[in-house]
Amino acid sequence: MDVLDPSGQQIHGYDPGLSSNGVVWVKELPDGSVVINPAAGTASLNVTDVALFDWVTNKNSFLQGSVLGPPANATISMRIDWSGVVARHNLQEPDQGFAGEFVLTGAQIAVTLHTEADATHPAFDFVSDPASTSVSDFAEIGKERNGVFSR
Amino acid sequence: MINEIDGFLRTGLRCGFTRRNFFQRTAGVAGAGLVLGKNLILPKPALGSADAAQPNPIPLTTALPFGTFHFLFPGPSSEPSLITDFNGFVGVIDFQGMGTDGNGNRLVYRGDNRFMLGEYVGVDGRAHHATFGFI
Repeated sequence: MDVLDPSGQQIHGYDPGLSSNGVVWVKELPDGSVVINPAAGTASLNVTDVALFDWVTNKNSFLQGSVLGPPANATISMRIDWSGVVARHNLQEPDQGFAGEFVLTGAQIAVTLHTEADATHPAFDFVSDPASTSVSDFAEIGKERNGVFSR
Repeated sequence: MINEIDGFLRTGLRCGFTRRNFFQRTAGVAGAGLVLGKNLILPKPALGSADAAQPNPIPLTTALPFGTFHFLFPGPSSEPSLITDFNGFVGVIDFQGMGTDGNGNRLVYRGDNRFMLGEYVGVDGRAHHATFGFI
């Protein structure tokens, strides 16, 4: 998740980093964080104080700190709600190795971010405006199978 | 609200290196491979290299100027999951909004967040069940 200053420059970049085998910015979340009902076209993700890193920029994250130095410890709390069925579609992409049934929806998000101060990073706190003011450019929920489950 | 965001984003697209414009401006450029500096800093991986339940990345990749990475942009024909050998529920949101920092400054936040909830085969070759977030 990016935070931009008034000039448009990215000043914070929150993500969990790359895993040792190349999984990009994925973090295991507590059980119960997600509730989904594809038939109704609704889902929610609700997490509190999930630990991740503030890399300042995305490039610094992809290059694992070699651009701007090590990240600061950080936390994110957020709630995302998907609702409002726009369209339903199925995908069978054998060449790409996945298939699924998907629902295009609307979605809204509210987030709180905290960067812990350390020797090279000042503390930073950010609270988004209410979720109703967020803008979703693309949102979908669904059921997917890939790899060994798509053969 | 949208006008306030647009004002930020027009500026950001000119000079910023945000997640979205960073991706959009650089994707498709032939990747030169991930060259890691000698001063590379490696924080503890989010998923832990010693974790037998660690998932594997999707084989599909996006090329950035400094490397190729296992993710795809969100879109109606794009694979949502970031992990392979996965069977479960997914959710994607590509978003932007406004907020306030601790000093009262108005700032834009934006990103692409996803969840993956279900069964998967980990690096240990065994089946597991978990909820993951792409944050």
